Amino acid sequence: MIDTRLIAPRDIIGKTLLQIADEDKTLLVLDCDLGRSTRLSSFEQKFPSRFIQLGSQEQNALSVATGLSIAGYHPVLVSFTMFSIGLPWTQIRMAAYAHVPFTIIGTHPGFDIGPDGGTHQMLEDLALARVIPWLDVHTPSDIHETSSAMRTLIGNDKLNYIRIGRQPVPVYYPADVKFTPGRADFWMDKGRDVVLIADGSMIFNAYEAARMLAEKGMGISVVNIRSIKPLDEDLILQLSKESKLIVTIENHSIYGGLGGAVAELVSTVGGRLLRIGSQDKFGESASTDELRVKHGLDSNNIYLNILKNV
Amino acid sequence: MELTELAKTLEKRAPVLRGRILRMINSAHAGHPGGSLSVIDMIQTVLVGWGHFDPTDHNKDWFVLGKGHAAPAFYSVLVELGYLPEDELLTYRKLGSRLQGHPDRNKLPFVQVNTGHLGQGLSLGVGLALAERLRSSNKKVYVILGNGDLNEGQTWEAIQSAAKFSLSNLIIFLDENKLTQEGIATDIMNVYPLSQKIENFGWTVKDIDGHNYLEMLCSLNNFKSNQSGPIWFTCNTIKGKGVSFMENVPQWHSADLPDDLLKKALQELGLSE
Repeated sequence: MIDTRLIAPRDIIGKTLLQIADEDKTLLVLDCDLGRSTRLSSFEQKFPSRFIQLGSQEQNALSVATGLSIAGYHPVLVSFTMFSIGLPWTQIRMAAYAHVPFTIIGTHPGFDIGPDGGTHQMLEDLALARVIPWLDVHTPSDIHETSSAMRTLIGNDKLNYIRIGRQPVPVYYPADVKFTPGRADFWMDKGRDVVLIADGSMIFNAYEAARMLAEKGMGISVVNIRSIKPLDEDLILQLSKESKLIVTIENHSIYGGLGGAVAELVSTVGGRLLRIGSQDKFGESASTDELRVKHGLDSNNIYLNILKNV
Repeated sequence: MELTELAKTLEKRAPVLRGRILRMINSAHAGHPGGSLSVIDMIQTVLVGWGHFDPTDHNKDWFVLGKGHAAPAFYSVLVELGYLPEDELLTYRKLGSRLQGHPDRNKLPFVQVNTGHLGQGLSLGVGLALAERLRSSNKKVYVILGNGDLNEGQTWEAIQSAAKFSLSNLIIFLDENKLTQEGIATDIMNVYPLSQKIENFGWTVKDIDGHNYLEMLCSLNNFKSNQSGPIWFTCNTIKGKGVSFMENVPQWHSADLPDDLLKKALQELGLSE
């Protein structure tokens, strides 16, 4: 049963970092002058010596994080995903190439940053991150799954990118949910006429659309993909063999992200695929809800699009 | 050993170290001879002369070759320190080699930090220095930069952040050979007056001769304690130093060294083939 309170996943970032910091004395948090927006203020207040303010120097910050990790710390770099993935891409790639483990958090993904406009709407980050070897890419959904993802991934032995939503969403998972990297999670498993696979910021709209489709008598399943990399390949291959239509829904370009990754797999076994996301377009200033409608990512448009294609 | 004696010892070994660089590039039919020959005396000073480098010992200092394309100079010094067998140098840039075109810690464990993209080296050094400061260790971080690094905006970000955090355990050696791949550094992108600029950001800056072992050792000795912030040595050098036909010629930034020219260069260095 979905808890109807609406809470933005980013709101759990600071609290979760505080929890981790109590146990992991090597945890450091790197901010690029966006700490209030990315919810780092509580961490800065409690652990000022472990909060590293680098100003708007995202490329420097990424390489500083690499150096801190090589020297034995667990740095977490937090910024809008445009600036934590888009801006320091070669620095991230060098960290991955050198197998240096730490965590990059990107908030305000895709249309989540609505009114700031197309300049800041990062619809390419999953593609940019997914193509780099040794970098894992995760898209948790609600606050509890986000918190679990952070506690699971921060301090592990990989370079991780965690994409965290800015828009308020319902609380779907219980507080003790266990985020397993690379293991997708069924939100609905009621048939194989249509299988909806969504990233963390779109799973709620996908779920709504699925309930509408189910009312039409179709066999519908909904999968929260959780990680774009490692991708739950076995599950996707199985679903593409079993289902009449796979639909990917993402707060991202249909190129290179979730839809791209699923297309690469589905093409090896055959099967129909519909990719819903930004159709190779930039965004513009508007509310997130308005942009979702315009780009077909609200639940009603997802529903209509699937009806048309089923 | 007295610094004067040490400097003499290092100076005597310099032609041998240069010879290794040339043989590597000849064998690989590619590489960066000019910048390797200009930086080799600085690397020998820091890693051999100063003697706080042992990548197998966590208590020793950090070394970051910001200008990673000068990898042959680093590999040459690793042979000097006994970490690499001499004949392995001939695998440089070849399939399966530990000696990649740019230093790779996953292939070669004596590399502490991967480098090769200009602009990232100083930031990596800031991260290492910040880590050592946080754990109150005495470890120092030595970073070698080239002229190309100074064109990269990220280097200036790192210059600001090292000053902000008062990283007194961070020591930069700039290989100021005044040339880049395509020409004269001031023509390509003028960043001068350099030392004054760095100083204005809050660093301690000293201009020294990057081929003068005694001056480099004395400078390190003088600045080893009581620093309140990061240290920057602008080391004036000659690109291609030691080989007359390479000196101050930008074309030798990146080039093959055919057998006849290798022979000529080794003769100039007083080495047999």
